[in-house]
This record gives sequence, structure tokens and C-alpha cells, in this order.
Amino acid sequence: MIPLPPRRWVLVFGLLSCKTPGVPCTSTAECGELQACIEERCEDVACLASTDCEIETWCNPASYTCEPGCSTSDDCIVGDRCDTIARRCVSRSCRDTQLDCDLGERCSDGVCERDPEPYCEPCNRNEDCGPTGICAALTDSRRGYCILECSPEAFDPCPAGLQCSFQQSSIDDVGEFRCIGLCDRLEE
Amino acid sequence: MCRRAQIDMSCRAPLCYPSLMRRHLPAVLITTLLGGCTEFEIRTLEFSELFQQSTFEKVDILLVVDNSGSMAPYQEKLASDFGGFFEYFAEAEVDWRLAVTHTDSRANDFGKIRGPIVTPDVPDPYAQFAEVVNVGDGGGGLEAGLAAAAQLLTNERNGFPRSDASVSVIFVSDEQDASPRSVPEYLNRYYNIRGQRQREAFNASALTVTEIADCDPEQFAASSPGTRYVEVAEQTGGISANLCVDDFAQIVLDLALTTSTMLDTFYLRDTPNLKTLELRLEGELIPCDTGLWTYTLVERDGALSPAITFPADQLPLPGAEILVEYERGSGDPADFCVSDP
Repeated sequence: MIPLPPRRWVLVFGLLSCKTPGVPCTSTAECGELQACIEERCEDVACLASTDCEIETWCNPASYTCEPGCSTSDDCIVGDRCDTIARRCVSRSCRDTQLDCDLGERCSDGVCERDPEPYCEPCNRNEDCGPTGICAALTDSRRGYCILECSPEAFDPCPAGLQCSFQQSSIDDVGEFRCIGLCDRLEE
Repeated sequence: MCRRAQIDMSCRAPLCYPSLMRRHLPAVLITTLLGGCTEFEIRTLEFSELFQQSTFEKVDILLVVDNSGSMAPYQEKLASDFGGFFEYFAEAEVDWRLAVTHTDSRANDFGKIRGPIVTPDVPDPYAQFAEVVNVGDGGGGLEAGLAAAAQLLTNERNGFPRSDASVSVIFVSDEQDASPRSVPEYLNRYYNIRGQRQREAFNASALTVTEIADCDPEQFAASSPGTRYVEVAEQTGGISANLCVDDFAQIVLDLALTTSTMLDTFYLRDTPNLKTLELRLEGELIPCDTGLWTYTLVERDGALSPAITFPADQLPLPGAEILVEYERGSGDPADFCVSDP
């Protein structure tokens, strides 16, 4: 026999398992790809497992069809988990501001919320940015954004996406630790 | 007291292909619940486990290199220490391509491939890599590696990655990622490249500051832990390594293995009697004294797990089946391949 490379063997197994519908069976294990043993006959079905379905849908074993929702968290996109009672993907609780939240948000009690201070808010003058903020344009950007002071020793000194670093906004500025980030890139 | 009797007749490891799984299903695991009250438990001592090497024959690798002011020494180190990476791929039966980009979101070429794509077809891939990996150190201080990778990999005009290749990203940065979106958001963008149901076709690794205590004072002053890069690596099955270490040799080999998606370690379900341990590769018995494989205990999840390992230059080919048969025993590696006197 001519030895086949591994991929060819896979193809051969695949062809062998591609059976004509209607073949008698006692269990689905005897049927081909995407076939189930229904009333003792192998029948073509839409799915056998949720991995046969699109993400955020699951394979209902009663009907062998893909249905919206989930059976496990593997059926959900990253950041969601499966509510197995309601059979739908729901947002997972956040654990860490910098990992789980978008720019300007903080993780509070498991939920990412916009920080109440005007971090990264578009602005025209310093007064728009509260008592510790300045309105500054980022490099290559004409638009001004609120840049607020921070304490580098504090836990999570800045909301997500912002780094507490020493900044001078002009030669006259004595400099302060401020939360800076890519304020103008959130929509990308 | 009413107790359950359980009979485990044989064990087989999970298989990658559903059709193969069905083929072996009757022998996979038969658990019988006996009616009534019984006081005994019977377990077979024979194991037969079937593994499969990664099926990806093509891999496209994206190296995202921080180009901020503190990165020059690390880029030199990458250029000089990455030889093992290319030696590995020269041996592996994997069709690979490698592209490089930087992290400066203010630059016009943000999210674009820097220089030519390195392929095995050029006379000296390593030399070409050493050239393109020097992305410079004039970039801004807000490094956005996660966003750079997302932008590059989802732009079809780049022609990279190829539509039938697995995708591996290696982030190299001495600072935290400042991309504006959450890590889960970027993970979804990466997984969408090959489809959310084929997440194994994507992995990312992080060569970043993982332990600031290991960095010298100069490195320390300019660094911050790259926890976002590490999170992406952990979530996608990649590896994380500390950029501050002096010697990249082992890291580079680990990166090569991870990015190629090839496996060198296959974990056994139980501890074998090593006199009974047999391995068949594509049906052919491979004696233990050939040096093509070995038995060892590998640390996993804080415990030592029995495993079969292959040397990096002798990995089973993509898609190859590895059948391991044994009886339960002590699993002491000292007994491996020891002949009876």
C-alpha cells in the first residue's frame, strides 16, 4: 500500500464517514459527518455540537439545529459568559480596570463605568477640565482634550487606557504627573 | 451506606477530528453505573491514548516591536538573539511568513507592515529579519501594540496573514500597552480573523516586563509591566517572558515552538508502568531507545504531570497521530527505557 501523508489520511477518513442519509443505525456514532441517528436512520442535520454553529449560537440536541444563544461560555465572544438558565450570552464582570475596560472607564463592582471626572473629554479651555485639569492638544492633533493630574503612588491612578506620567504642557509649565493616553483614538 | 460502583474499562484522550472521535468512541470511556448498593470499585490498568499534532501547515507571524525611546537595546538583542527562531523554522515542516510592525500610533505607517515580509524563500531570512526588526526608537511614549496588531491583521490590503494560515503575534515592549479598547475587545478582533469557532488558529505571546524586580535600575526607570500583553498571551495559549533577562536563547526557542502551533508535549491521563509504555507514530512503533521521544514529568497547574515529549528538531509532522499505550504504574522517569538485566 502506498503510504499517504497525514493530511490525505484525514481526507480518506472524511470520505469514509460521508455516508448516504437513510442508512440504518442504532447510534449517532455510526453515522457520517453532520449526521445523526434519528428513528434508527442516519439523517443529515445542521449540527451535532455547538462548535458546528456560529458564535453566540448553540446546537439544540433535540432538533440538531443552531439556535441563538449559548449552552456554555465557549459559545460566547470573549468578555461574555453564558447564562445557562436563560441560554444567552451576558457580559462578564470586569476584574481589572486596565485589562477589562475601555479608555476613560474604571472597573467598579464588576462593571466598567465612565469615570465621572472629564478624563480625555474634548475641551476648548482649561476651565472645561475642572480644578486639576488642563486642556491640551496631543501631538499631531488639533483638538484639545482634558488632561488631569494624578498621583503615581495611588492604586489605579488613572482610568483605563491612561498612564500616569510626568508631563509638561509648555516651557512655562512646572510639570505634574498627569493621566495621558490616546484620547483621540477611541473610535478606532 | 449506598455507594456507586464504577468500572473504567479503557481510556482514550480526546481527538481533534469529530470523525475520528466517532470512530474511537466505543472504546473511549465506558462508565457503568451498577444498580443497587455495592461496595467495590474496579478500574482497568490499561490505557490507550491517541494524540494528534497540530494540523496547521502554514503560520503567519506578526512581530509587534515597541519603537519608543527606551527600546534600542532590546531591538539590538532581538536582532542578535533570534537566530534560534529561524533555525527552528528551517527544521520544522511548516510554511511560515513573518512581518514586523511598530507600536507608535502617531506614525503614518501605524498598523502597516514594516519593510518586506520575511519568508523562507529568501537566501538569508535571519539577515532580512535583523534589518526589519530595527524599527527605530523615535516613536512616542504611548505604545499601542494591541491596536497596531488589530489594525494590521484586519486590513485585507496587507495580504497578511494568508487566508489559510494560523496567526501568531509576538508583542515586544518594555511598557504597558496604551491601546484605547479593553483586552477582550482586541481578543475578539483577533479571533474574528479566522473565526470565533477556530480560536486555536490564533495565539499571541508577550516579550515584555513581567517582573520589574528582574530589571536593572536603568531598565526599571523606563519600564512598566506589560500586563495587557501578558493577558492576551494567557488568553490565547501563548507564552509570556521577561524582556529584562540577559539571555533570550530559551525564550526564542519557546517562542518558535509556540508560534508554529506545533506541540512537543503530550500529557498522559495516568502514570504509566514504564516497562509497558509504547508509542506509535502514524502506526509505526517507535522504540524508546531511538531518542525520538521520551517520557518525563512536566509541571502543569502547579503539579507534576506524566507526559511524552519530543525534541524540538524531531517533532511529529502536522496532523500526525501519536498513539501511546501503557499499563498503570509508578510513572517514575528513572525507569524509562531501562532494560531488564
